[in-house]
Amino acid sequence: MKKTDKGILLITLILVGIGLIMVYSSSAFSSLRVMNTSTFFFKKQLIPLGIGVVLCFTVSKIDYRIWGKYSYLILGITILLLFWVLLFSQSVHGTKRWIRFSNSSLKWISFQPAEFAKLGVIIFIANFISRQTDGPLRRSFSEASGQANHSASGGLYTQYVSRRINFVKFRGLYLSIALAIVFLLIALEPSFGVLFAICVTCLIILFLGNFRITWLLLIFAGVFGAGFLLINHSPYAKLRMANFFSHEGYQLRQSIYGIGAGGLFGAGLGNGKAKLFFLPEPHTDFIFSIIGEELGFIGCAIVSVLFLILLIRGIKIGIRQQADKFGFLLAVGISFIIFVSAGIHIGVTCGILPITGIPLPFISFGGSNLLSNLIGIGILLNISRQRQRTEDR
Amino acid sequence: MKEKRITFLFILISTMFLILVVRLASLQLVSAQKYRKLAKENYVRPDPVDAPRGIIYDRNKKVLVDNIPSYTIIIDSNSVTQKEKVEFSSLLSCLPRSDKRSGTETANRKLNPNFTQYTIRKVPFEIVCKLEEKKERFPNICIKIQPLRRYHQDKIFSHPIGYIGEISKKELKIYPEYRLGIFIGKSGIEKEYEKFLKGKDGTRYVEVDARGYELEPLSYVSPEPGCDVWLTIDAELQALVYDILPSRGACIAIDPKTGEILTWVSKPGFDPNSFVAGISSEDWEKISKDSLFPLWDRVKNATYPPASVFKLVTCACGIEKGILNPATKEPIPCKGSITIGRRKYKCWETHGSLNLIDAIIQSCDVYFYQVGMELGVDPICELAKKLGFGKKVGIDIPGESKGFIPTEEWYDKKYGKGRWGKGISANLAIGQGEILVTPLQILYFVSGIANNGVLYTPALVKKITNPNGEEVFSFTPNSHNLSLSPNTIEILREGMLGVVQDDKGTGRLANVPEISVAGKTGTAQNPEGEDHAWFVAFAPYENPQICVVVFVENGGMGGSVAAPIAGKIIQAYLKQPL
Repeated sequence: MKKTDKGILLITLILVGIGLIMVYSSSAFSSLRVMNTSTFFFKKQLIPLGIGVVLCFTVSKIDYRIWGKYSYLILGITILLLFWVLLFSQSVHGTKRWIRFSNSSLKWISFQPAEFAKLGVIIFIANFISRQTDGPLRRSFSEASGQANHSASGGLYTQYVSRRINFVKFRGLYLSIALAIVFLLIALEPSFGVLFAICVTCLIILFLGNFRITWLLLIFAGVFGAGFLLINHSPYAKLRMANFFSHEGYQLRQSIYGIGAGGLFGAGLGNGKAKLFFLPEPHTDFIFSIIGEELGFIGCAIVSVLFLILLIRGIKIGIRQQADKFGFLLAVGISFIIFVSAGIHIGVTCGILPITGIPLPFISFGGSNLLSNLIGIGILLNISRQRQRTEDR
Repeated sequence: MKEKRITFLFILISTMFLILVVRLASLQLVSAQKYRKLAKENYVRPDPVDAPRGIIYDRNKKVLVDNIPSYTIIIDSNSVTQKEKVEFSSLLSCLPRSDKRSGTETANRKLNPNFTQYTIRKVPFEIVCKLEEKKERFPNICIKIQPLRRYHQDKIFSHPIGYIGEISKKELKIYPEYRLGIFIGKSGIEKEYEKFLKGKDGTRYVEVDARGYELEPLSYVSPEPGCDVWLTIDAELQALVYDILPSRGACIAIDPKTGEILTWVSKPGFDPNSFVAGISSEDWEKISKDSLFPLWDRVKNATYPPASVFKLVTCACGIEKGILNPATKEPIPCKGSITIGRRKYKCWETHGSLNLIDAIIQSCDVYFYQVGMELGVDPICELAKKLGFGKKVGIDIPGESKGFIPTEEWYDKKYGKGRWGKGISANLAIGQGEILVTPLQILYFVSGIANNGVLYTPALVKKITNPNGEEVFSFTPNSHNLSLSPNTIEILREGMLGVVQDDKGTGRLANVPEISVAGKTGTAQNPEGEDHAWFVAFAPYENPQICVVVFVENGGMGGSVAAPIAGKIIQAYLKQPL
């Protein structure tokens, strides 16, 4: 029988529930001021949530292997959308992140391609690596690479070296170019928070995909160097880095005041003060600060632990799916993109990372983020189901 | 291999998770108190509530100064849009513009260069109505009700009570507990009794959002009103004096038995009401550049030559030194003038041969020229200093002048040793020349004569009561002895009685039927214009209840200009049922 991982589903639902409450609590004041109704953002969040739940359910019914089959197409669409957003969208606060459609019923539908690029990139890289290692060529490569570190067995070693060069020359180059394009497009929006989360996740996938440590270090150095260049070129990123190292900056101060003021039990739901315009974007990029203020250390700990459990369960799903390398890497990738995003968001709000706008998965206001994460959970659920199916046989 | 990598990753994740948790714990558990306080300062705005200043009464419980509620508009010009500004300024165009930047504004600008808050006080009700009507169009304008000082008697009490104005940086050092932008006593009673009158401002703690919008009031510390000050001044008498005194002059009257000041008038006065909401630059220009100097307190600030009034001092000096007694006649009779050195010193009339009392009564200059020459500069001046001239009287409001009493040494310095003659001391003896006194000093001295040698420091405040009605300060007469022998005082009193009562007396016009008024006239020669008129009087002679000094700037003869005024004041005061 098919059995989905109920734990993941439960955690997701709890997080989404907390999210709805916190979106209302953090946005009610400003939406009352601006929109004359306290439920503006709350209601707006319900639509993607409904769609997300349906999509999550649908995706969990689709065999995850299909994503690997169409990974090139998915990445292609992702890149197209990222181009689209750069070329045709209007900038909001100096950033071009949203594609907007206006339909006849006078409502705007907007979405962020970068949020969906997360999934696209993970699927692509998981598929790419699994193809390399699963194929006959890569199998010998992986055996060779395992032995090359320990033995000087001549014949195998030369074989390995020649194949490694092969890999670097052709396959690795494709991967690098494809990823570089996506990263560059996201960096141009700019959306550093999402980019950072994707980079970290990619590195982790490569690491678990048995990449050689030296290569990883090289890639890491490359990403780091590129990131450094980017920050140096973008005045606002530069300012934020400077603010981070000098512990200044209005947003950071307000965020820390909010979290700090929460204490052990918090001020109580709805009683936070930081959202009274002191903290910018209280319902998106700084929602964890509101959680800290209103729900206290206990609330923060619960949310953090939920994300940790989600990660661990996700990895477990992956490990049990070892037979299929793609399934393993995909499950790990999805788990990590959620966890890393959450980690960055929390790190930013409590001042251990430089300020970058990244939503807290499932909790922050924002349709694209919620949708892509729910789709990710859907894929994860399907992987867990596949595992059980194989066990059933 | 894969297991190793997963283990490594787990360790990495655990470490990072631990860092996050530790950070959260340090923020929320260790320094929660600190951040709670910081956050509170963020969203709680203390909004000061002005305490109403104490009320000032006259001696008969008549209210002289109190407070009325008035509207104050505070505009944060940063958040005001251009359109709002235009509409708003058209609404306010009927108001007098104050170009002076308020202290609050300056202080706020210092904290935040972009912050600009304009305060408009004393906004008429009609404008407030119009604003309230269009309130949704002016979201950044705050209307407050604040107590505003009201001076009931306009100009009449302007000098003894003084006025208030916005605190200056200098004053802020004296009163460190005050804040910028508040109003503080600038002169007179308002300044001297500032600490009593001010009260304690309250605070309204309001929850605000980051843009400063008020959300809800949190707590309220109500202001404590200032203490009430009860003056010794009689408001009715003061009003009468202000009325009958010519356009420029001073008049002050005290009860010689206690030193309580009954009236204190300096004319022209100014309207302290024009200062209560911050004075506009045009009004300030008008007051400060007025050729009549309305801000100048002629009672205690202005110094003039005492003229013939000073003959009382010369006379006292002569008696004390033993060269004068009531029987003495002058060696040279008054022929209208006397030649000293190469110069002819005039008397104002030809008096013939006079004894001491007659010389006082008729105010003969020639007689006192001779007394002065015989005494010399220093003995007269030393006695004058002993009698309270050349130093502050010690009145309980600030800004008193000392006046000036010369010495021989001073003349030596000015003209060179031995290069000045007897003419100087002759001139000094009749109160002319370099000697300068304030009307207050003359009053103080004469009150001592009136009271048979006991003088009381003049005082303006009878008592101070706190808002519960308890007395926190009560006036106690502060007595001194006039350093003159009783015999001398008796002779001076007799002479002063004659000045008003004798047929030849210079002060006959001060006479009041049924009351024995005593006095002394003075006419100060003024090289720049008309003479200044002096008259000092006390009454009744037997048991003095009032002592009054009238000074009329450029008024003319003391006997004809100042004396009748003094007479009217005495009449009004003594004839009123007490």
